[in-house]
Amino acid sequence: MLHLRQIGLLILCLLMCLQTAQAEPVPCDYNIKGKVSDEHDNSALDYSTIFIVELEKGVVADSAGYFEIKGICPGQYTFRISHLGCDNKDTVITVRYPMAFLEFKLEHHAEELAAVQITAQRISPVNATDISQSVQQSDLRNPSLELGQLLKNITGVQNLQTGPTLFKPIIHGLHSDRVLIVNNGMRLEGQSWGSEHAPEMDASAARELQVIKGAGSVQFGTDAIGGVVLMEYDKPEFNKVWKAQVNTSYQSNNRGGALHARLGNGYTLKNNHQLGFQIGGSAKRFGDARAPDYVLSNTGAKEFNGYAGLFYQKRTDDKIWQWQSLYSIYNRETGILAASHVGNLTDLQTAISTGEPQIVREWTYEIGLPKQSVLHHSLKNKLEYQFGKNQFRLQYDVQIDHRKEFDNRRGNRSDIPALDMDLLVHHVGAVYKRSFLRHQFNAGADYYYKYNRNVPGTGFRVIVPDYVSQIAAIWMFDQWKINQKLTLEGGGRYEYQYFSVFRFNEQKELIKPTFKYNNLALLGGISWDISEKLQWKSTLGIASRSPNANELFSQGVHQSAAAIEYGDTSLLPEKSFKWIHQLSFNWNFDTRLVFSPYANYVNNFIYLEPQQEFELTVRGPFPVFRYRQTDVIISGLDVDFSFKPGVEWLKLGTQYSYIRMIKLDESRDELVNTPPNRITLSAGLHKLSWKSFQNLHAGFEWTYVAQQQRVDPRSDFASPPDAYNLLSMEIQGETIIGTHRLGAGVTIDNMLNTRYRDYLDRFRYFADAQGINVHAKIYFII
Amino acid sequence: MKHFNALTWMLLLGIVTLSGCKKDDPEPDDENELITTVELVFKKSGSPDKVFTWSELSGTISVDTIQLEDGEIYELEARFLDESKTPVEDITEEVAEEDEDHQVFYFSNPGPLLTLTYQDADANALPVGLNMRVVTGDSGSGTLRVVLKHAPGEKDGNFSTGSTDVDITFPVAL
Repeated sequence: MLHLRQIGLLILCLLMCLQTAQAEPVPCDYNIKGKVSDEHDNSALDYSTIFIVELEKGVVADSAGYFEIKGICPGQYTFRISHLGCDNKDTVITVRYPMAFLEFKLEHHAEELAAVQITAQRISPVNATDISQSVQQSDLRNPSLELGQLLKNITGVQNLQTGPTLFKPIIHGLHSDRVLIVNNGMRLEGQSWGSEHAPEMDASAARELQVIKGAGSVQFGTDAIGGVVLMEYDKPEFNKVWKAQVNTSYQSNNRGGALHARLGNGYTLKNNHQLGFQIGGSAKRFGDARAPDYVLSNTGAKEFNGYAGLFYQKRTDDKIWQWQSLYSIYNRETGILAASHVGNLTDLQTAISTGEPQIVREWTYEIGLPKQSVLHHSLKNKLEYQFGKNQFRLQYDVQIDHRKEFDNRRGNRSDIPALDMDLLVHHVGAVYKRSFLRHQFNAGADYYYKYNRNVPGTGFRVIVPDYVSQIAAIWMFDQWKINQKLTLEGGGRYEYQYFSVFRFNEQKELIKPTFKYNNLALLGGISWDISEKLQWKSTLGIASRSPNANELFSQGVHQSAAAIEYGDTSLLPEKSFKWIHQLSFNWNFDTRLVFSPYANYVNNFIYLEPQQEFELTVRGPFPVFRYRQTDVIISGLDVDFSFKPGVEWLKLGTQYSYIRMIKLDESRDELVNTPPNRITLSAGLHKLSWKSFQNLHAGFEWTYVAQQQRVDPRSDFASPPDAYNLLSMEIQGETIIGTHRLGAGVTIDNMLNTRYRDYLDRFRYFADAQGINVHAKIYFII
Repeated sequence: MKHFNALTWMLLLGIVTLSGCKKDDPEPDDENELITTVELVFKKSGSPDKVFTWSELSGTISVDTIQLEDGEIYELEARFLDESKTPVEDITEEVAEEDEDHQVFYFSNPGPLLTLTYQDADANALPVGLNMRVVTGDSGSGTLRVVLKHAPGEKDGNFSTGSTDVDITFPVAL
């Protein structure tokens, strides 16, 4: 019915236009384009509805919050903007020009009650000048995707992979301890030093997932040299409306299934007491992945995760008290490619020269050896008090991370973990926030206590010794919104770290060395809307990271790498100076270009340097690597370009990322694991509504990853793999049932079943990457 | 008041948990997978056994030269030990128990120097290599490489299967 009316209106409009064209030219072909975004952090509010009350005409914004309304007569209209979890917002706007770009800001999850004036502010982890990018909501509804798989569509983000199951995000060439992951307001604490240790969190619980590419976060730590990954859960609401969501998916390649469900509600009791809760959980099971020619034996995984939260709020005319407690558990068992188990250099060289995995078994769901199992608990308690323009927050959180790694062992010891580590982290933090004039001032302090313990009984020498690390930090940050177009931000953080280590020397005597580090982070940023079509953002950040226990104390054979690694206790903290720009052009509204160059100078960058010598052991000779420091310059460019070639429903796009990571010593060598350059071209058909369906999308994507040719071949066991092309496609859509949304989609990755190996996959020595994979997903949102 | 209670509770919880985590000194773990020593025992009837040892103790490697008579036949017995333990742990027993997952390979260089044939087999009739027959060639010198492979569930008698637990080389003089 609606579209009939629309057509009627259009015809009417056309007739009027024709009529008026003969007399005075007052055409009704004005176009309005615009964007809907979150008032607090400018993040796009996808699939918002934009409704013109007078014309009874509406459109739905796309996944990036952009929308377009065509064929409007000049005049005054009421625009009603709505978005899931936001209150409707009416704005009266006079349309005077044939082309106009409107930007609507909504208070997302405003927790607002009609009778109360004060609005709950959230202390946003994302700053206005941060160069950040969000994962599309449609991707978040596929619960089988790991964090790294979700982030890989963001330009400038790659993955350090360990086979088809373990992904570590690489932001602008840096990963592991150099990427800070913030899980629902808590710094994720796990064994992130290991390149085969994926982040210990369930990304399918995310309401929002973002990457900040700038250096640094003054709020969460000084060590975000590469960037920050932010995951947010649903916000609590107290409007007596059940919020629920069920996401399911199946993938053909490993016959894996995943289910995520969440539920929440909130009530207002007497005397303005409000109480809310949320619970959620995921279950995932994947069998062996398959390369085009063979089964990648023992690459299955299983995962069970859950969370439960309670919220309390009391509001008066000028005060808000809030209490939140949220517990979450992550539990994953991951098989490690059987063929990747090597005992020495000869085994590794044999595996490389054979070109095929040495162990290929029948396809199975069973997870054999080697394998990893990770259990991660976290509990967050947060108290917030807001009065007038002041806000206090006190947070106490605790995380327990238990990692076990199992290997093929002699003498029936395979059930005993070869690595068994417990990490306990307490954190107490306080934040004060005040809005005044055009400023938003934040200041805070943190204390961390981290205790890492090797559970006795593994029968192996420990890799990372027991340690206690205590960190005390203070920080402040100010946002100065000079006018609607120009925002300046700046801040700093200072951390003092006291690191005490408990280790054994060659004579098996306990020694307790201690280390003290001072770390500083500084951040300055600008966001300037130069014109309606052009926006410039830039941040200059200084970050610094203390060496981790692995870099300080490694001593001996690194099993999976067939190498002997030596740490160095004299390592100094590394300091990074990163300058990143982002220029966004919006020509004719149909063409968008985001151009983002960056340079990151890292002083005392810690890396593993291959040595000339080989060390003889009972397992044969091993190549020796030592942790060394040198200055490094990382520079690169991210480009995002999209345009509509004259047809409303067709959108073409390209993403390009280029990166160099050069050691500033005599060698001027490129660092090992510098991501190869890549380009993605995409073509998509979009239709906002058709019959009773909405947000219909079908598209193809072609990705080309170049060969990494600049890395010194002596620094690696095998030469970097050839360049490769991948083709993928996607079809999805949703329908509204009452007030609920039902959606479905099919994605086919590696459509041509291409045989390839990726330079950033640690298992490229042993086997090809995953072949064709059909993902199907169905989701239901109440 | 209620809010102050909440605040106090949270602080208390913090203090209790923080003070609760007293740290005990860790104990060194016994490395039970360690092989420090390989002994090759050459037997010939009518003469005393000859034992040649490769060992790595506290980072120091010492290797005996295998000295045998030329043109002779010996029975060879291989032993794997962990000498870092007291008493010395005999890993050979574990290898023999799991003989379906293990195989010792021998490579003589030059080839004719020593000719080795397997004298033992596992339940799948695949050789194990703890007991060998050695035929020595003409007098001369060279090397003998001894490799212990661990291939749980995968053992097929091929050298390239499985992962390497031992890979050492003895000098040989006949």
